[in-house]
Amino acid sequence: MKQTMRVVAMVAAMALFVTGAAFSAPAIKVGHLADLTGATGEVGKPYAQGVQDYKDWVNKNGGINGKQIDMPMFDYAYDKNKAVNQYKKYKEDGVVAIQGWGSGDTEALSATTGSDKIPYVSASYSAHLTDPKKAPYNFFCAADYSSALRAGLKYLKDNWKEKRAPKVVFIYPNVPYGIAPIKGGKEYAKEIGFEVLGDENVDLKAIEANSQLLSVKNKAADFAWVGGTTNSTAVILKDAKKLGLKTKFFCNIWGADESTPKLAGGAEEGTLVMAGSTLYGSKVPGMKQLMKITNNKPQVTHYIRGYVSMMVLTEALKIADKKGQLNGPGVKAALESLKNFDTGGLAANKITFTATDHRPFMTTNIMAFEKGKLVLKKTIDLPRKAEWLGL
Amino acid sequence: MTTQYLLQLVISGLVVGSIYAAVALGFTIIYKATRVVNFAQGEFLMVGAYACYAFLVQMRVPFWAALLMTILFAVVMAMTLERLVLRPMIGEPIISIIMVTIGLSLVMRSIVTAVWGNDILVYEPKLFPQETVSIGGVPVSQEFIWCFVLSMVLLAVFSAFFKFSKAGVAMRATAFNQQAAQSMGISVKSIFALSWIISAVVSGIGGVLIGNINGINSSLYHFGLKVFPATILGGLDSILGAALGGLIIGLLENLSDGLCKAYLDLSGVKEVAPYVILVVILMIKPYGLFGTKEIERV
Repeated sequence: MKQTMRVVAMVAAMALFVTGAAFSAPAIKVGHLADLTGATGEVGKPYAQGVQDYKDWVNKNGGINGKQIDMPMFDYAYDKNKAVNQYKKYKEDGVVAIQGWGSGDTEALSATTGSDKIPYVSASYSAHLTDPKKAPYNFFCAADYSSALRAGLKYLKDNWKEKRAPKVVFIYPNVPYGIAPIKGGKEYAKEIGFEVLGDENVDLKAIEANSQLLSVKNKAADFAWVGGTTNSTAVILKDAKKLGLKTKFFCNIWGADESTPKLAGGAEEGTLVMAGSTLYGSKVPGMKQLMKITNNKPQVTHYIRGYVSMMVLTEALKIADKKGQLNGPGVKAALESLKNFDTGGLAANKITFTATDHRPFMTTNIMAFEKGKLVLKKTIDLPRKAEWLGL
Repeated sequence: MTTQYLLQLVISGLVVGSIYAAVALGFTIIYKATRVVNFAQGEFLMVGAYACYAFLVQMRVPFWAALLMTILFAVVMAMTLERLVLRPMIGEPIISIIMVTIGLSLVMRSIVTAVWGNDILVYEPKLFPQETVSIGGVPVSQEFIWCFVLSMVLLAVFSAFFKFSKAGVAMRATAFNQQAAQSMGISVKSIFALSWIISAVVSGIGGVLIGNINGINSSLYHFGLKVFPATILGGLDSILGAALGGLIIGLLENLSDGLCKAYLDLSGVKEVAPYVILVVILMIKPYGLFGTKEIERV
């Protein structure tokens, strides 16, 4: 009996030791700031879901070299102050990287993440976050706003048949996101032979844009760049149709998506969108796994970009872990070591970061609304010009 | 600048201003009776839009019935809020009641997000025809015309209500002097409840109109803040002021933007001009265009 008890005690002790060891396996701490309920929640929510879904898939499939990713999401509701406070908490928790979201908070935290040496992968695609001299720890996984605008201009100019210079106008909200690509875009427009007509401001919360679009009509603009978000773009497109504008519209990455047709009610037909990813269901190698994860439930392009963003960070975590450098500088170095990282065709191109250039690629998928659906028209790949870095 | 361009700016300004006016009415009615500025006004609007969506799209009720059910929902919601949250605050300092309305706004936003999420929802079928009609050669959306008509009807009905009905006169008396009104047999509690009900109904209808134009999501509450300057401009306690304040802000936005663009090549004036004019008018008339001037003998 004594012998039996001894064996039972030993087995119990062994089990406790083994399970204890399993429980204490170090998880990799990553922060996640998302906007689910704030001003950009309609696009922030699917993006955040993409980030979390990919993380869950990694954790279920071996994690990072056997380690789980511990990445709880915090909904900061697009409130910069909340984002900054939560960032401080993440820093105290010892995160090795952060998945972020909007322009306001990413830019507000840019200097801090740099000095704290915490890589910050976000969905703010402002070009000035791509210059490591100014924003050393910022990364993102789509063409920057300026490059996407340049790609749109190039596509339009390449398809311009008339002998006169095409006329372009810029419509955007007077906020950092809206303003970011305008300088670079205007310079490029002039460079390739556009006549730049000027600017119109349409607020993100606008319910009409008559005065601005009458001005566009009076100027007889051939093309209009729209740098807003889905709601304001729908207002612009509906008013343009109502006023009988002949102008062709092309939108920034957040300006239109799969939800636009139901908002614009047909006025979106022919409008171009500068997309940073592929469409759900497209025939690319990475789509199979994504569709499996989402149970074949169609997702908007923002979801796919969130998914890609976590895929890229996961790869960096794996590299950093293998080198025994699972910390901020180690993850940054790993991200900067990515050369032609293949997302399975989910992003517009393969991703490359270097220590001197954080532009993931210079490629934009030009999509157009045709009969209420987004259709890929062309993929524009611009040269990685040094003078465009940060502009 | 052509006459048609000017006419287009004026018509656009008036139709948008009429929606501002309807929502401003909600602020005014509560302030008029209770002296409380309701910072949950935008949320009342948002909830109205979502309630109509639930009836129209989720329960597949015809529009006229959905609108009636939305009004009924607004009545029940306002009665509940007034009884449970606001009535216990009677007699407390105004600032405390205002803080309660701010708290209420956060709770309402959270509930809406929890129930409907944050996706953009649209009314299907559309409430109003999407085709444009020509007014003096100017194309105008039919949905805007309906908004204008409904807003004007609301303003006319409530102006008449305050002027001619017993309850309206009682509300004015309560606003003027609660103690005197009570001594004349007016139930101040009932008047307060009535003011919250009317305000919720008006805002709910405003929410349906705006949701119809721009889709529905939880950021609709911002509209309450946008309309606040119109309310201040007209005078917080004046129905006529709410109507004119809304129309003036709508006109100013469009005319200032259009004119500055045409003659000075200035953009972005639309967002700023109403506030500039608001400050100027308040410097001349601190109680707004039609607000009651408070005189104290010292």
